[in-house]
Amino acid sequence: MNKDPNLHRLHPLWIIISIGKTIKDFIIPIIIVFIINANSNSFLMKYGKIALIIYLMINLVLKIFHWKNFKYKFTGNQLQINEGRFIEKKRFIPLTNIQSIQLNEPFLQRIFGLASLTFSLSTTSDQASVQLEAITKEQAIRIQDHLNKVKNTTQTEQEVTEEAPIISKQKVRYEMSKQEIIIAAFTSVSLLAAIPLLLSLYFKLNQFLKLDQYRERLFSFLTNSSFVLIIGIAFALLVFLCLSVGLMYLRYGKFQVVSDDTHIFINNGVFSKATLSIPIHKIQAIEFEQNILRRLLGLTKVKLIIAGGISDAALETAILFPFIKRERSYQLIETEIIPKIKIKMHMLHTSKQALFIKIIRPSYLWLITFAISISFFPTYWYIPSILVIITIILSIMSFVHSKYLLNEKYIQVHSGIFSTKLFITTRGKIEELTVTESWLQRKFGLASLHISTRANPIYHTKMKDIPKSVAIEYYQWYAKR
Amino acid sequence: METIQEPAQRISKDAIKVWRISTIINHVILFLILTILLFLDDYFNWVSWIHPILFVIIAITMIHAIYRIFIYPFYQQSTWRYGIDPAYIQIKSGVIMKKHIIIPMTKVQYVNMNQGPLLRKYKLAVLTIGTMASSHDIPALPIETAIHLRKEVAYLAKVTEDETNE
Repeated sequence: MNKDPNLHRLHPLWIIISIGKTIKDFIIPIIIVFIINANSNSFLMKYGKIALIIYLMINLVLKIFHWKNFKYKFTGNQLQINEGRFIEKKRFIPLTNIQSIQLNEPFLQRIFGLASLTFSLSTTSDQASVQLEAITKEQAIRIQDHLNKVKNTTQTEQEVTEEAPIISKQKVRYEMSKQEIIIAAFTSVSLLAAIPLLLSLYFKLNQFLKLDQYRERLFSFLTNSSFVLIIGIAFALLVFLCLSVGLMYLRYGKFQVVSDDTHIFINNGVFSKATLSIPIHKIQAIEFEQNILRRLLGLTKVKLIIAGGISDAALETAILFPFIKRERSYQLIETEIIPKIKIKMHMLHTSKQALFIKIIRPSYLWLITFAISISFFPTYWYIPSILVIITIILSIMSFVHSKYLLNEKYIQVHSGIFSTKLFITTRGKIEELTVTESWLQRKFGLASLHISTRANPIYHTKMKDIPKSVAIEYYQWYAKR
Repeated sequence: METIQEPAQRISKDAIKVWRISTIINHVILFLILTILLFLDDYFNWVSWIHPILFVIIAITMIHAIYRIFIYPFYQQSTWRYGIDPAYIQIKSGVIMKKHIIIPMTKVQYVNMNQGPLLRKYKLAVLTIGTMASSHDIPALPIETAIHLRKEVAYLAKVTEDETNE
């Protein structure tokens, strides 16, 4: 068994890379102990140093054992993994359980011609993915191609009559343009999130560097004339936007979607590269997400929902298009990427009763707050009134955005208040369906529908306050699968 | 107005007794704890607002106990329905909040049967049907039915998975 030529180890550099990772995780204690307090003789620092060194040494030994015992092997239809530092464990993973394959080339590994493979599995446990970290790139690509072929053959065996077993050529379906990156940078909400971050950074630095005096001088200089002030603000904005464009470029600069008849490949990354390959028949659902700014510009983000875990690299989730014109995304998906799917633009609104119930539902809360505030703080009567108006507006917005449609074997659900989501899945991918009907809903002839689809963990979609007849229709539609 | 066709099977009538007994046990323990707290409050002179809060909690528990002992078990038992056929498992429950669940056999991941001491006394068992998304209990089935259903579901789920293993 030990001499099995098909059993492969990870690349020896794995040890150095993973030790590097540990050091990175412990960077703050290391700096505190060895740099800031290098000459300190306090009890804590002295023993902290020793403890840290011992910990890192043990870690190194464990890593070496892990590397020595970690072996993998691909046989006909399964992946075998031997692991365990001291006790050998063997894991056998049927290849059909693999939901998607991710090929990562983190910058450091890329320099050495290495790559990592992550397989997401169809389990919801903590073992939802398997990783082969640091193997040579040729090996990684060979494995990826092998797995894609394995799946193709098993699939074509079943569908021989449907499709000729000729594997079509891969085609680039979408590439992110510079224009899109710039638009994305302008419409990113995370831009605003940077402001408190900068402020906190400023206050931290202020403690060391006494920035306050510069700030005062800068302020007085800026406020001297409105012209200088405007120039100053414009300059700050410009710097801000340039930064944001730069960050966006780093994130999505080389974003590309390639596909053939059976698989979708998403390539991404400027310094660290990643490729995610997903068999089309394993896609559980598609989600279109729009924040408020992007909705106004007709842009959308398209996510593929797949079962199993995805590693935390350049592709955090299976994003098919990070930001794209909505019509173009529909067209690309329907005609080129997943030709079987049909997306319909015109969806049905929920009934008027739904609006009424949405407004009435929080009313218990209003009554209580009203009663309390009027009796205790009569002078502040306007605060609950404003709250009531806000909740009514939110209810109306939520009503306007809740739309749904049954389209042969596809179900489309649209929801949201400020940012909206369109969720599309097929009957076969729904794990279970629940119809609930509360007392209040019954009075208005309404019901709610919940669908669960596989993802990591589980993806729940809810259609609240749809007419009961529609809920029944959906229930029967699902029962017909 | 048309409705969803309810599944036909009912759960055991003994469910009412089992639920009542277990609720009584739970509430007796709860009351004991609350009384001890009340006593300690008196004895150690805790902060003044604890006293009324304890009374409010006791009142709420009392109302809840009445509901759970006299009303809930009866309605829950008489409205619970389930149906298992080769293609689907359907579960319907609730009076005020009605709930219909439908699970295709292909999506069933596991079936479990378990019994607590109370259920065992009445020769009942709980059947738990698990999918990828969640798990669903059919409470209080006569034990023979539960064993039979467990076998049936396990068989059907296995068979159908083989057929549609795409």
